[in-house]
Amino acid sequence: MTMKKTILLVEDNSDDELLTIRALKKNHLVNDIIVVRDGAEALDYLLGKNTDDKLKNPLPTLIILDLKLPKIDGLEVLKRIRNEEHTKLIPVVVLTSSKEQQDVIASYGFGANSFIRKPVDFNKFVEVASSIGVYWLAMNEFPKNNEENNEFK
Amino acid sequence: MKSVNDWINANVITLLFVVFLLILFSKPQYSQTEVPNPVVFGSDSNFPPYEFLDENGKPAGFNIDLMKAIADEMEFKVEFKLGSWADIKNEFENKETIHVSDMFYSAERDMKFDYAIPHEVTYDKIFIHKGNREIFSISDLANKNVAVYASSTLEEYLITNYPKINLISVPSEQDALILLSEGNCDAAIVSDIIQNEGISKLKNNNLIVIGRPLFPREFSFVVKKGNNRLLKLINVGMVRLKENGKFNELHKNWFTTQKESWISNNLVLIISILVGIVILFVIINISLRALVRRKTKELEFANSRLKLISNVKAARIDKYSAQEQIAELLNYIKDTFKVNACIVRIIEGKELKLWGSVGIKKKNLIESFAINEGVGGKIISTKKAIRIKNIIKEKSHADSAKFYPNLYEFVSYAGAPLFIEDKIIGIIGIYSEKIEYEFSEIDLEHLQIVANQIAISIENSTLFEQNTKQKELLIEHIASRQKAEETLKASEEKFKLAFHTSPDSININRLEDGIFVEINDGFTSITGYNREDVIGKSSLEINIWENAEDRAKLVAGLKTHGIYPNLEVKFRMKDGRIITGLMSSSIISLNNVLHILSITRNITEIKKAQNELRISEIRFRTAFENSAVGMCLTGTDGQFLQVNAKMCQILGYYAPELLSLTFQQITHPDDISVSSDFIIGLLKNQNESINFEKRYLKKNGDIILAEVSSSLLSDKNNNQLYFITHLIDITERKRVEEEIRNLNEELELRVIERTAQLEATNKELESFSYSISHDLRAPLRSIDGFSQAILEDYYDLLDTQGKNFLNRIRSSAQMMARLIDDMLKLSRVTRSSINFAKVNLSEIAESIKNELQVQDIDRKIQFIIAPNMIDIADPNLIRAAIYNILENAWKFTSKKNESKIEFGKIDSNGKSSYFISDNGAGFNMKYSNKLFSPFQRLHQQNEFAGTGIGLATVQRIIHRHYGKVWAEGNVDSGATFYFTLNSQSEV
Repeated sequence: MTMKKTILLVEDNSDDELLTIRALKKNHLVNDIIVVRDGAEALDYLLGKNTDDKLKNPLPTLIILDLKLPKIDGLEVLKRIRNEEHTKLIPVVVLTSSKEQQDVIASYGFGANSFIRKPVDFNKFVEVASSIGVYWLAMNEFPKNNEENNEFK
Repeated sequence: MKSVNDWINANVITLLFVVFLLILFSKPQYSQTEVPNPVVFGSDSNFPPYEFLDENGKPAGFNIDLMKAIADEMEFKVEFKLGSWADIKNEFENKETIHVSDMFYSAERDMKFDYAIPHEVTYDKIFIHKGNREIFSISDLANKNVAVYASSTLEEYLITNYPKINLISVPSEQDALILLSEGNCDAAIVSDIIQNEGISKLKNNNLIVIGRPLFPREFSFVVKKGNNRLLKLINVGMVRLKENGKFNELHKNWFTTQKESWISNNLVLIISILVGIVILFVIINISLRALVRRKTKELEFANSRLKLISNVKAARIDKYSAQEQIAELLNYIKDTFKVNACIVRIIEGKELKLWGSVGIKKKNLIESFAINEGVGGKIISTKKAIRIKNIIKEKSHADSAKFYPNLYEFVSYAGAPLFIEDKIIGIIGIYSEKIEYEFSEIDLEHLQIVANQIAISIENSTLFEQNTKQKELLIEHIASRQKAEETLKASEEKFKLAFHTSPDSININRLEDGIFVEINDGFTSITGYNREDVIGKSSLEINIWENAEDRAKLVAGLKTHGIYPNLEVKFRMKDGRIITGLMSSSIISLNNVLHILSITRNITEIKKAQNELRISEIRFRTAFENSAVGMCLTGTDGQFLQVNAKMCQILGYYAPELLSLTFQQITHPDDISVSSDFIIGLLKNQNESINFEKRYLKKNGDIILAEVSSSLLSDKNNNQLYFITHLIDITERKRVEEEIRNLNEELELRVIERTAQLEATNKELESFSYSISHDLRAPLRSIDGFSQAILEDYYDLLDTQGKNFLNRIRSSAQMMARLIDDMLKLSRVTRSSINFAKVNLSEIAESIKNELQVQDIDRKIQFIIAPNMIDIADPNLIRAAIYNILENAWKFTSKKNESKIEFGKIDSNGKSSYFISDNGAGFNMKYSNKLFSPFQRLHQQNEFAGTGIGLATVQRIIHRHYGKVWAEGNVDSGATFYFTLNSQSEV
């Protein structure tokens, strides 16, 4: 069974969005990258604006989350998705510019699976993106999502 | 005789009263005894003149007549039964046939019989033969045969008191005299009542009386014990007879006229003989009449002399009427001897003192003269009576003249010594004015007899009085002496005990030389001298006086006043110590030698204590007065009792003003109740002392705040005396404290303000650096990323220079990213809170080495890390610091073939310094001051890459550990970085 693996990229900076997608794509690891540009959009996408919209969007295999976001910041987003039953198991990799200790601690505290700083050197950035893709999309095993469970039913 | 009657009269009233009492209280059976009818009076048949059988065999005598008179007076019948006294007495005692008798009084008889009022007092006299030169007094009668009346009180008396006399009991007193007269015994003792009667009946009077009259006895009627009725009758009768004069009449009949009748009897006999002779020879010798006449005269003369002797003998002179009686007696002598004057003198000491005189004017009499002078002296020295025919002739002898200066009116003199036994007690002299009157030998003999009688009378009266008086005195004396002795003994015991147990020193020394006679234990315990040390030695000898003059002073004082109280003296003890003693001394006489009795108390300690007390008092007074704090004594009512100068100064009052106030009056009104509560707490003993602050009103009205400490002083018996209070004016201090408090509050406020500002700044800085780390990096990433994208996507369109430019852009962007990272690190070092803990620097260095090694596996570096360098530090920060230095060393040794990095510790001056040395590029010491400034680099970027922030970070970290960091180095010969950590002291 071929599974469509999607990444939800939550990134407000268009440069970073472009560079991240470029780095991920360089490794040919990603089938589908859904980009949302702030925390509110991310939550809308994942949780829906109301309960009815809940399951409109397919859930991503991996969420790459920036912390510094307009409207609702990354940590709040992380907290909310970890509180929702159907999103709490989705791996979240925090990819951000800073490596301030307070951010690192808070991210893990709210249930982030990884914390990675974006290197300035683009070559290194590509290496990082490649590593994330290899690790989370190719090597890591996920619990089977609800849809699949439903299908089998 | 008069005196006897007086005595009897004097006692009648008393006796009547006694009798009355006896009647009143005697037992009924006695009072009911009947008076027998007739009353039988039994007595001696041969005891004239009291009772005897007359020539007709009828009872006669004074007692017979007296009893008859009593019987008539009291109207009872009386019968008489006279016989041998021993028989009669026996019958009277044991049978009821005789009811009344008469007896001399004796204590022994008084137990058997009841005596009526005595009606006669008699004496006994010792009779001896004339010419007997062995017996002079009763004491000479021992082992002699002496005749006495059988069963008489005399016999009883002699047996008891003179047991050595061989008594011959005879049936009557008359028989005693006869027995003696006939030479059948050595002496006879008979009563004076019988003697005249008895002597006159003797065939030849060859007897004389010697010695003093013995054994005065009361002669009374007696009844048997209990025969009260009869006794009363006799007593009442006797008193009545005395009152109506019949007693005296009877007495006179028997004791005066009886003798006259005896004499007249003789006269009749003589006359009848003479008549016979006249009838026979009337014619023959008419001249015999003249002889008869002369004989008659002689007889009359003898008779008168006998009367005189009898009267003198009968006279008993007692103290109270002595002068009167003497005068009477001497007058009688004067008349009988037919002289003009009579003088009696008594020896008193060495003088002959006038005792009595008649017929001479008082002014002509010498009161006394020496016993060896004149005729008196002659009489006394010769012990013989003398007669002087003509005194005037004697006077003419020059040496004698002075002895008779007052006797000019007399011519003849006769004198005799007054003998008592063989001792002369005085002289009697008779004087005649008649010229050439010559006293005869008979006169002298009579005078001597009279003298003897007078002597006895004088002696008797004196003795009688003295005797009773002395007896009383003696009894009194013995009693008082016994009592005194007992008291003395008790007090002696007491004083002995007191003497020996007294803790004070008591010593007795001779006044004269200070020799110790007695000391007590107190003396020993105080001075250290024991008895052996001092007894027999003088106080000066043992050197006990510190100043010998003190003894002189004591002795002088004692001689003047007898006592010397409270003399304060310094004494030297046996061990040489000097003590102060308070000595009280007195002179006492022991065995007639004057001594000093001294009692000394050791007052050294007291003196010392007094002195110390005085000094201490001065000290405390000075302390009180000069105290820098206010002090006062206050009564329990709050009244000031004493205040010091500071107190006055604080309160602005003069001392006298304060002393008239109470503390309440100067306390701020709002603080009075608080003060009172504290005071009450003290008075109830709830607190020992109190400390509180209160306000006072000064005299000028200012209010001061004072700190008050008070405590209550009580005496030994817990009586509360007064408060002692310390007072400090803390007005100024309080003001300053208030100021400081305000300042502190202000400061605190400012600190809070500043802290808030700082916190705000910190927050700002934090968000600033947060922004930097996020936002400054993003554009750099874009620059670098898109430059790379251009290089990748448009590689063919770019020439070499274009590619080079893009690479330069990229490296600048990356450099800037590093700069941002380092700057953030530096700021984090400053901002982050620090947490000291024990860290192992060696382990930290080890881990950094491994980290560095991993980055460049190919490099060969000799890493030397000293083991177990343990210190106190913040683990993260110290790691960052060591990392920076080691990284530098790593970097600057990168061009060496053989790199060497060493991390160790050196100790100098007791302080530890850590060092990290390398053999790398080193640096020029000229620029060493720039090493630790941020952004300062000593190497070009292409030589050794770096931001110039690492060492600045190191310095900041070390400073946060209160340490120092410095570096030594030379170009191309390596560098050494030193640092110290002082955070240990901050933990």
